[in-house]
Amino acid sequence: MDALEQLAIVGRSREGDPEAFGMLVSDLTPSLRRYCRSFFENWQDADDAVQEVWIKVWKSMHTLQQNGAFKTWLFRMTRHVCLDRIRSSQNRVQVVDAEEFSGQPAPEHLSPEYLAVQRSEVERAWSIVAKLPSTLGQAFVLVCLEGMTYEQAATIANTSESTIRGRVARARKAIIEAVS
Amino acid sequence: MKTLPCGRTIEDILHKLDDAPDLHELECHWCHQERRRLKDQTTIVLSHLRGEDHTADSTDLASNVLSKISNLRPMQRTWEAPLRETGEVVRISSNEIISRIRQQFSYSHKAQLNYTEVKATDAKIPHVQWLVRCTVSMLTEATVQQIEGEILEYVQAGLGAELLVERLRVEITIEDVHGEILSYLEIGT
Repeated sequence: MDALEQLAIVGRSREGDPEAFGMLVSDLTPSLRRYCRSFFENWQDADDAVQEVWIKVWKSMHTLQQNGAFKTWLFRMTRHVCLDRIRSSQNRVQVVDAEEFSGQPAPEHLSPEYLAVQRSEVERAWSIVAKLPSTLGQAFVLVCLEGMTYEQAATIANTSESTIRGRVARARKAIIEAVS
Repeated sequence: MKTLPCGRTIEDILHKLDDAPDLHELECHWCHQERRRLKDQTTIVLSHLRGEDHTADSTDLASNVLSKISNLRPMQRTWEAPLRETGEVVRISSNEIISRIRQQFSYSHKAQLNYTEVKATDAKIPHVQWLVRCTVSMLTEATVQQIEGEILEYVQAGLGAELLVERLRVEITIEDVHGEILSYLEIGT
């Protein structure tokens, strides 16, 4: 979805068009999952938060003032939902367990062995992020993984650009040390 | 804090990793090599974090979300307005009016309609005075005047094809490709 197309899709969603909103959900759920994962220690909690976020967004789309501000607005709302869930202790801290994935159907062209290796590498990468102080992990995911500018990440995290720059640098340093 | 032979620290480079290298870095072999090492090492982790094996999970999650949302239809504002031909008062939703305006815009090669808001401005029922807010992106090198004329025509055609409209005010916001507001204008009949 290019930027121009996204503006129209966001606008139609603000008008209450469920089909347009579905396109946003499909397009942005992977990014939201990754951002939520930086708050929680497992995918289940991250996915629960993502569901809550989308339902809240659907109910409050009409309050969005500007189409171009949608992505920042969405991630700010996501941050609030994640922090609320953490505060209200709905989140149970769990160690990531490979069995968690056993019920998920695998694409046919990927062998179980390949998937197991791939998933262990992916989970290892997430466990490195999870070991970072929470604010560093969130800044790293927003800037390095989701390609946001320091300005956008600062708006989402309700802090200054220089703070985000510092957090991203410290996160990178810790990650590099962990993989070295 | 590790210092490179040129005097810069690794932290210096880490802080500017997303920026273009400065003059010193462009000419310094040590900085150049360190920048590449730092980028390479984070790239490996990033490629795992973007792990493709989670695509299926995201698709499942998106489907779950959409099925929950399908039970939450948005509130629709409805209006009582007279038909142009017969004067008969009908009840019409904002979304129906927006859909008619959108249909008109589908003929445009100059502007893309991004968002529309419709409301009656007269307190008296049935409503004959309307405010339509349109947010558009310009698709070509068209002038604002050309866009303005076209939008008024489309809104009139969409709203006034069936309904009796005595007064119409159109507020137009033109935004760039990133959604930043370029200009705002009001027109009316």
